[in-house]
Amino acid sequence: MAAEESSGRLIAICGKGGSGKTALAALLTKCILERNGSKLLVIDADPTMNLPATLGLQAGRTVNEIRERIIREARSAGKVEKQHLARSLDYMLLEALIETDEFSLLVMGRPDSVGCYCPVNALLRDGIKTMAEHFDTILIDGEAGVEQISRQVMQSVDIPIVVSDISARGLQTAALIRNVIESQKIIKYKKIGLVLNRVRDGGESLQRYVQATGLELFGWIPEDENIARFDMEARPLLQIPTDSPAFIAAQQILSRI
Amino acid sequence: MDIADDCIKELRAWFRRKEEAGASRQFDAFESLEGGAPVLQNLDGNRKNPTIIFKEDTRLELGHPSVGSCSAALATHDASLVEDGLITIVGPDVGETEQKVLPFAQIAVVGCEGTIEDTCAAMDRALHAGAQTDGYMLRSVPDLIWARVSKEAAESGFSLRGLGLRLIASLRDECEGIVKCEMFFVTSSREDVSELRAIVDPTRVRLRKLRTFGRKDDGTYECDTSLDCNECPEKPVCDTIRDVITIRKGDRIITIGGDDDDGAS
Repeated sequence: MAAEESSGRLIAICGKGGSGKTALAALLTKCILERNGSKLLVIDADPTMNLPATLGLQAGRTVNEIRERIIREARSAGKVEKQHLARSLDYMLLEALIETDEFSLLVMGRPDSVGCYCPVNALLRDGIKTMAEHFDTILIDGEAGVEQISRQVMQSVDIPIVVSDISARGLQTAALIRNVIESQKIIKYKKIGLVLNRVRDGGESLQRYVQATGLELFGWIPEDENIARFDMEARPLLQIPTDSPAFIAAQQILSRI
Repeated sequence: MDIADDCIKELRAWFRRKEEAGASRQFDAFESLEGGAPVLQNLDGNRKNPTIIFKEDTRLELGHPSVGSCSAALATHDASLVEDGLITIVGPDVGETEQKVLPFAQIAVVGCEGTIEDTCAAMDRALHAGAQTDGYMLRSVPDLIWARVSKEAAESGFSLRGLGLRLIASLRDECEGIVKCEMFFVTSSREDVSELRAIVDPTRVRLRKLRTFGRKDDGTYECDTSLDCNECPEKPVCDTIRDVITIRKGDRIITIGGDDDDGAS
């Protein structure tokens, strides 16, 4: 369990834009669902909000919409309204939770208000933590770095996964993310590693890419035409065939972490 | 005449019409329950946070945002408006429906000796605390209520009647100055719940204003919270008055050194 945050297992995915984080999040979701009957919470923490569609769902109320409402109500809250606000948070978070028969999804959305509102972030993190305690596994699809996850979602995770393709820029970004996490201690974690995406030739040749990042290699996802086809056809990746190379690779990654 | 009295009378009339149509049932909280109706189990005292009942574990969902809900806590000094210990249910109870989702209204009415505003606020807390029980998940904001009854709780006999008992006990125990308590639950239809909201909402708005603006001894009101004028619901009034003042200044005949030269502009 990640530090003091949750009784479940927390996996966060981050990486440069376009590196395939959302696709990996969808594949890992499918892997976890295929594996066992554990309760899974998926959190889309990327402001671009691509994950719901990739999972075949539609985003409704987002956590940042709740944030805006809390800020509005806090402006004129007296003693009684503060009590109402404390309870309203659980109501609004449940309303934002998209429950399917197999897993649940929470979408963070995009913040609108200018201003840091740190106490509001702390309040929301507490609400999310309360909800997350009821799940066995929490999978977070983040953005490039982990700052946003740490600020708005959870302050510690079990396993941050840094995703990169094998471009020089992608690997530089992966190395930078690792440096930031380790040097600035933005987020607490137990184990951190790299997943390489859209790999054409696997094996020993990958090691030189991995060394450059200073990260442990959790695995690599091969170039898979199914992913591209599903993307073009706007089909949810949860429907990808189980003999698909990308899915098989994701299963191996999950076993390793 | 208290702020909620008209609302309570209108509610009583609404429930009377339901009773005459044979659409409501009433239970006396002070009669012992026959057939060994279960005592609701308290949450584990160590559990700090509200539990979640997932959809897959839910037998019945009450007041989901898509079907409508209404929640109210009303107090009066006129005890004749309250039937002490009465629980009224319009629509099916938990064990009486095959449906998975129902609209939901929960209304508590009390006769009290303290101030109406303070009593309503205390009631709100007591109702929320009193509903914390295994197998019943409650989410509420001041005017809405959303609950889930777990399959396990439903099989064990959880009922709105039992919940009503518990809430009446909680109101009596937790709120000072309460002399009579009555509970109403409605699960019949979205239209019924909407009608109740329409009856209750104006009073709720007035109660909120009373809480926002503290009344001084001379009967006037001033805001006793750290209100930002930009968020005050009365801002349009003040803005209008400021415009009126500006208009009046513009209409004055300004003479240099005359009585109307107030030096303000």
